[in-house]
Amino acid sequence: MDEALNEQTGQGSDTALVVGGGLAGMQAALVLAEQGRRVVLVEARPALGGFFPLLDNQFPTQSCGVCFMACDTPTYCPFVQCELHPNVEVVTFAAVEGVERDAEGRFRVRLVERPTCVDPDACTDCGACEEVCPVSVPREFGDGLETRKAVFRYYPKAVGKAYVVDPDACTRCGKCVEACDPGAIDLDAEPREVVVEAGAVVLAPGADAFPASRREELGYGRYPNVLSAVRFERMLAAGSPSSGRPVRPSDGRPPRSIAFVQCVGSRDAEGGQGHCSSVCCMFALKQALFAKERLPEAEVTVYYMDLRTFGKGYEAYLRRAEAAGIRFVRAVPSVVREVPGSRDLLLQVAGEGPASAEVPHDLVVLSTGFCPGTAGQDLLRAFGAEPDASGFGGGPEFEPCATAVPGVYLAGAFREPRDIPESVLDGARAAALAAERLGAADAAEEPRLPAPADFRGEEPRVAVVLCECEGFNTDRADFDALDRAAREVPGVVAVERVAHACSRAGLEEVRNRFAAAEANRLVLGACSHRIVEQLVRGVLRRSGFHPGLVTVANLREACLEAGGGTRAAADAVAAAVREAWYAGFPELRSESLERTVLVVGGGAAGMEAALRLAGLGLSVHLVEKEPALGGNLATSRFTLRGGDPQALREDLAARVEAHPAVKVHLGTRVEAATGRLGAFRSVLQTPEGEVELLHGAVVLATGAREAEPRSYGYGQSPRIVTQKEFEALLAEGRVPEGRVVMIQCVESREEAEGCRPWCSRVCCTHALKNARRLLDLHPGAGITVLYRDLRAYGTYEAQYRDARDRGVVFVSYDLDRRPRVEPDGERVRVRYIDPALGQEVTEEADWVVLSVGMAPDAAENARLADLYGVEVDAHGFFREKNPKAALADATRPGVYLAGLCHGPKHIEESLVHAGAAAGRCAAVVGRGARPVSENVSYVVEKICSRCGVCVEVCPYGARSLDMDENVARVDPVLCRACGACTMACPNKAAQQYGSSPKQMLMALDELLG
Amino acid sequence: MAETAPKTEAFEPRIVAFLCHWCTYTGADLAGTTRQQYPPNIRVVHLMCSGAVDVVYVLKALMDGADGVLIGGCHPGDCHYESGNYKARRRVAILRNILGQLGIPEDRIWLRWISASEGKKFAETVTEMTEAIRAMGPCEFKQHWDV
Ligand code: FES
Repeated sequence: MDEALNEQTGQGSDTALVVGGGLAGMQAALVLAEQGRRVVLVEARPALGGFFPLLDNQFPTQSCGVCFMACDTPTYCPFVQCELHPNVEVVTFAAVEGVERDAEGRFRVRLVERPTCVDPDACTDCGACEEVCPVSVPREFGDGLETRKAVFRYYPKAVGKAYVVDPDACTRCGKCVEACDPGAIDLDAEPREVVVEAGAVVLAPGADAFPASRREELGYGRYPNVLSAVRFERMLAAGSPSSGRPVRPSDGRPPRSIAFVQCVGSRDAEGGQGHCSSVCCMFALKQALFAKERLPEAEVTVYYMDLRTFGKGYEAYLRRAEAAGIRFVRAVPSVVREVPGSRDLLLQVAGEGPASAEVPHDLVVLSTGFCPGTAGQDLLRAFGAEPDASGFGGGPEFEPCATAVPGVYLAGAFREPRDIPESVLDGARAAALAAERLGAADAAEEPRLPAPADFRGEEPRVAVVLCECEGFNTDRADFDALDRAAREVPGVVAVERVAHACSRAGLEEVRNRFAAAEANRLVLGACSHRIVEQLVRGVLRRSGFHPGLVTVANLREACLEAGGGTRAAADAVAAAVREAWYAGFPELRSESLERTVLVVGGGAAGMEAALRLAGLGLSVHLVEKEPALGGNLATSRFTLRGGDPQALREDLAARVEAHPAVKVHLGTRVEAATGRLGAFRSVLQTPEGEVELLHGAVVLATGAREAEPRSYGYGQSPRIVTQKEFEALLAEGRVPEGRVVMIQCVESREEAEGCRPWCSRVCCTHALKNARRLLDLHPGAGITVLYRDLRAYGTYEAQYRDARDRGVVFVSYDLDRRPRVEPDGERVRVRYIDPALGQEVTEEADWVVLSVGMAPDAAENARLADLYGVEVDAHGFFREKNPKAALADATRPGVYLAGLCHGPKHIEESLVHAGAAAGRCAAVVGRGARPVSENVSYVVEKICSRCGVCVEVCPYGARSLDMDENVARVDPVLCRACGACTMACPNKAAQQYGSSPKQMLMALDELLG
Repeated sequence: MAETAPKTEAFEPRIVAFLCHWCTYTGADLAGTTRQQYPPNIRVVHLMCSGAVDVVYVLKALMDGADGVLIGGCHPGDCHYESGNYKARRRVAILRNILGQLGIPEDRIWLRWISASEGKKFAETVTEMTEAIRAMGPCEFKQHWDV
């Protein structure tokens, strides 16, 4: 790595530095790398991952899916991908020690890499050191649920420098050094200094988990059966000491009654934690669901203030939790006591009602949130920027991810408490900004290589090269026997051995042995396909051979490490020989992609996407159906954070119109579209007539609108208005002093006919901003907000608190006891139940303001979805490729999503979404070409009957029917080599390189021979 | 081995595992790198996706003398090709039907979702499957075919 790093450091401004290897940082690194930028990715811990590896499953998918955050799928999970990517250098266990910024704004960053004391190349991961280490300390991963040694793996699935010596815990007894067979441990290893010169920096240090012990009265650290959310998450992981079963740490028995206590270390201004951590409600729901699933008998109760399930699809998840029998109690336990003997727990619960009671539970989970963490703050300061009042990174509202220092960008939970989807979007947007800062990249230059020799038509002569893996493989198999067995396989002309195939010298050695054997097929018996296949294929290709000549036999991981021995290895080699024998040779090429992008919708998201794409060197056509740009910005007058949406609209519109690479089409609609990633053809109906456009990708940014209410007397009195209407009245100063009642969740979060089952995410903050503006105008105004759950997430919580402090009254209501509204002349009577009094209250209001939420233009979205072959969800919003890891991608390659058309968002969130869409789009079409997979599918034309089944099953639209020639065709750009067509074809005319039926069947013969 | 030889040679089942590249194959790698030992009865076939496991391959494996076949793919929702694992699931359901008609117990075919990070689960699955197939005894399909 040193070599590569030094190369990097010489490169100056072309390199981007990403600090923080959680999901936001990894996303930033991958988006930059895929755009052809060099990236140094620095992580303070010994392994990449941030919080993510702790999570066994994610809400709402209950699966992982993090691999979808790659810009172009399929690919490995980002942990592996960052390690494998040729443009990414990963430096773990390292900290930023010094930052200099020169006159041109470039950075010279000094990193100090702490010694792991275990040489990762020599370490064979045998674990002997860990066994003999006498030290035992609580394991930070999982918040001390388990203990660990002084030499340890940071987390069980860690990729990279797996074993580390913790210098603070190590007693230097030297037992591990003795136990280490390959001599990989050096307790005196020195830290290493690395200097990176970078033109742009993305800071994604992540937030810290709130230490539950700071809320002493809740018993964490004193009572074993009180767990933090992190500790409980670890307990639920399959690899936990209880194998994923919830148990009471005091006696190991399954709990009968689990309590989740929300907002521990969140929404607590007195405790110095004024923000809402945004994730804990969903996190608790997920944990509660898993607990319930694994212990169906147990009672599960969630104590909460507000259930903040504001993300896309999260409301449905809440209903699922309710349906699973999880109890929700709106009350905040203030003290937890332990019952001596049983070690059960008593929760002092002060509800909204007057009574306070002690409720018994036998396991308590504290839903601990985020705190900004001093590490992130120090890092930000080192680069010359300051955290905001909440202690998080913050930054300008309408320039999300930017900081006060040009060239320094922020992403992830340290910027503001946030969940995975937002962190990943942040990472992609920060990458787009950083790449723009580095200067536009050119389309990828294909290195020109001679046409490869593939020996087509010659009788196969197979050379087998076996890798000893520096003694590892030879210790576990009889290589002489393996050698003899390989020679007996028909077609083998030579059997060779190399010491270490995957080193640079080793790969050359493999190629030389192959060439010397005068063979025309190569079987490399070494380690996994994942590790060695691309390497050896690359070496052969560069030496003028077709990479399809190579077949890998996975001896190490699949046979020898697991204890399979010589016999298994010999079978694997024989099978690989057969596969090589029948190998085919795909045409090696990459297909060009049009570097023009069509953006549909000229609101905040569309304009922002256009600007970011243009900044990344792409040509953009921006289509708006109205005669002016702006979308919803046109009717936004102010925001809760004090931004001026009109100024934003003017600024974006002016920049879009002035940008030489952006062509704006007003009063225009997309009439028709065909094509695919890299080559779409759309017909635009402009006021001047039809325009046909060739473009490589499309960003859909069609927006959504405030819905029109149909209840609460709307339309029966001019004094009953929506939040948006009220905002306009306030902006124009047309609201006289008086009483205002706001009703939240109007026709939202309900399944009933005509309602919007989703949470529109922004209505609570809109109510807050209007209430505060009214108080600015008339400090004595009386305002009541009737709400179901007040969802002022993240640092919006501060404004919620401010509104309360300034006298706004918040009263919760239930769906079965909703407020009633009766227009009465100039006034409106509102009746509702006050839960504190348990009585009906009547208010004579001057205004009733309805928070109705947002609805998409479902018909238009469905039409566009049809044109571009993507999906809309049941509500008419566009569906994203993956709800956790790919929110800016639609369900088909080359189609991206930005803003409200995907789901409700605040303006700043739409800007993030748009920037992320642009970054990810540029990472694919910006390169101008896409290599064709080596396992691409093809058509055996003789036997194709043009039945069309393959066209139907292809998930990528890569197959079509050629009516003239009467055969099916494959578009190699779109084919991702999944093999679906090969299975579906009734004639076996659809086949795939690398695993044709011949190869498979013959290999099976050998495997079972 | 030094002890008294068993009357008949102990039955060692042979299992072929078709693993998808992105998840289960990588999980199997992890089982290796983390030194999870599992019985040597398994032979791995590497494919891009569990949705590319042809019924013919499974039958061929049984014909060639396999006593069990394991198909490993990504968890539901995690297939790197969107829905290959669902296709595999449907295909296996049909396959089991066919096997039933051929007189082969359908639980000689296992379909399991094992992710790239579930090395332990892979090792456990192989161990469990080897024991289960061992208990079932040799698959008679090959003999039928040979006759
Ligand atoms: S890629 Fe793993 S099942 Fe499809």
